[in-house]
Amino acid sequence: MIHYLKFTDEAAMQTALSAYYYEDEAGDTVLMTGDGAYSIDVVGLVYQPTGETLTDEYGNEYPETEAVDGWHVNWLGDLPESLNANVIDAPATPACVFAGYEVVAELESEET
Amino acid sequence: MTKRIQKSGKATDLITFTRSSTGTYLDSVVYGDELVQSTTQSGVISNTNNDPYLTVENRGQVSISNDVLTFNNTQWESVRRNVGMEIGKYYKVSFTVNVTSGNVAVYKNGATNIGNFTTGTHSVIYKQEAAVNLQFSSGGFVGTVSNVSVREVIGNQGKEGEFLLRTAEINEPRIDYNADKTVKGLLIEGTRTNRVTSSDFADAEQRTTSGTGTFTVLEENKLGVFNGFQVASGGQTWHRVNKYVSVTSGTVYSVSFYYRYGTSGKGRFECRINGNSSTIVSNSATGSITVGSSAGGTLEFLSDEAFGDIRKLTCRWTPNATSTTATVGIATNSDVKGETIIAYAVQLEGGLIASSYIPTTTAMKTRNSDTASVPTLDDFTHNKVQGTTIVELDYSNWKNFATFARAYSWAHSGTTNILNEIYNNGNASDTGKLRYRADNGSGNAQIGADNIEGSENYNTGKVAFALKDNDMAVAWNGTLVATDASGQPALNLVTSLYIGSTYREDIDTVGDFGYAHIKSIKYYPVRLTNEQMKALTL
Repeated sequence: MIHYLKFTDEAAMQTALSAYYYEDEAGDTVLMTGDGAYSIDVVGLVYQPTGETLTDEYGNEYPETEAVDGWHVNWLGDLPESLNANVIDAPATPACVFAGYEVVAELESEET
Repeated sequence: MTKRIQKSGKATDLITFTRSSTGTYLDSVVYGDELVQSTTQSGVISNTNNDPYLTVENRGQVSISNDVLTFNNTQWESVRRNVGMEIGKYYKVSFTVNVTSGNVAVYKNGATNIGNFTTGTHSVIYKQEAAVNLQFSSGGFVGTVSNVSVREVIGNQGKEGEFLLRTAEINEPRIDYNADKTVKGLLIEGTRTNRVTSSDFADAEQRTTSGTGTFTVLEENKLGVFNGFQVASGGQTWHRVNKYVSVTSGTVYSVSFYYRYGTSGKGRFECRINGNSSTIVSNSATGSITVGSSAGGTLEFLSDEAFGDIRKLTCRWTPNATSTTATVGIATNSDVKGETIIAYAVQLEGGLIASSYIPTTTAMKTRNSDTASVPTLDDFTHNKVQGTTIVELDYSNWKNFATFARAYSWAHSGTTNILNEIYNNGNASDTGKLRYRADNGSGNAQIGADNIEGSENYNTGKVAFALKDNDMAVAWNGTLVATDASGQPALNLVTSLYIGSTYREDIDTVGDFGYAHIKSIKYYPVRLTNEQMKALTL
């Protein structure tokens, strides 16, 4: 199961996930992204359209975006109880998905 | 969830493989006979039609003529082409949709929506898991479905097959092929995210163009997945197709461009931010590939591989600014109006190595790490006194890769974790060089950690590593490269084998993924002689 988590900022995420960081042989602090039992995908800032349209240097129009609140993480697998407070509702249009877990929009499935 | 690599009777039966997402790999395949039976019906199909190959649900107001299905109203309709697919096998399903309004939903296995399709010829490959039908459904769709085809996909065909970029299911190992259709080996990679949405340029709303070139959507179906987007120069070298992508200043990204040379015979691969471009330019006639500009941040060319006429060019980009509207694009690099290049896809991922393709649609997508291991030696004839491990691998990705990466590691439960291994060092001065190391269980090297002399000049090879108290040796591609007659490699402490990665029991995590292809790994519970090691690594 995929859990969508939101933290105040990156530092808050690092605190909450401190048990999942370790120091590698090169001395760098590394996040354990998982090995099958769970998978952590740090999405970070998520941007949404503001409704305004901008024009790029070649005349292409594109939607203006702004960052939504929080620092976002996707979690695949059983979620530790300590992270329950960070769970948010599954977004209708997630910024990032795990390969193989894409949601295909369903047409009307049956006559009523 | 675990899955074993199926090679009955061989040591690989002991290997457990996991990956908690799908992942792509390049296979060599042939396609079986056409399984769709033409129907002789004509006109409106009724719910009670007697055609064994066609089933209609609900109103039965779908008509057929010359095997073309026509959906006539906007209410829900369902037509099933009953095809003799076998559960557990893979099939290539293709069909042509012509939309008057709406789109058509296609279901596999009688229940799972594999996509909603608009006008065009579409091809989908999937594993048959349940019912043996292919269902087309309408919810607001008016239009036709024709040219329905279902053929079995038979992989691992070597030089007899054609390339197909396949999707391995969750926990399914990926065995890649080389450009010459020889087996490259088991692919082991770490977790990566393709930050480019709609990565194949197919979605018109998700791509932009630069300049007055002529841009054309193609339907080439290259590698079974890429339709192509043709860029024709309008008279400037930079006229191109782009994808927006969000990047952070100072972060190292690897970028992969999938393309085919067109009539220009040239290419220009552009990473642009805040009006400044970093570019790589190529010329198929001369074979020249050079960095043309670095105004948008450091850009380093890594590789350019050909798979038939499809090419994958990879580079490493460190943007010099932060932006949500940076672009990565492909241009002809020709100022001759009308000269072309074909763009297929682009991938931008954080990290030093460009990994396998992660196709995206509306969202970024993450492929999780591969783990191949013998996690416990209970059923394994591991000798705690002596032994020899021989690995054949392709480690060409390690070029300029200043990070630890493992070909294999025999691990134990102590804090030093690894007892003996073949690996890539994290020191910049040693990158790309194959190294060996065995220690005594306390982190003290008994042999190594040294580079295998000359190994940096190779991308592939075989290395044998033999260990016994006061008798250790390394052979590389038929040559004995190291011996040591003193020291006690702690084979008695070994608890597990990780292939293409390593395991730290103290924190229960797998890491240092190889981003390499392991063609074979063999273990002998004896210290082979030096002559045997040389012979077995030729």
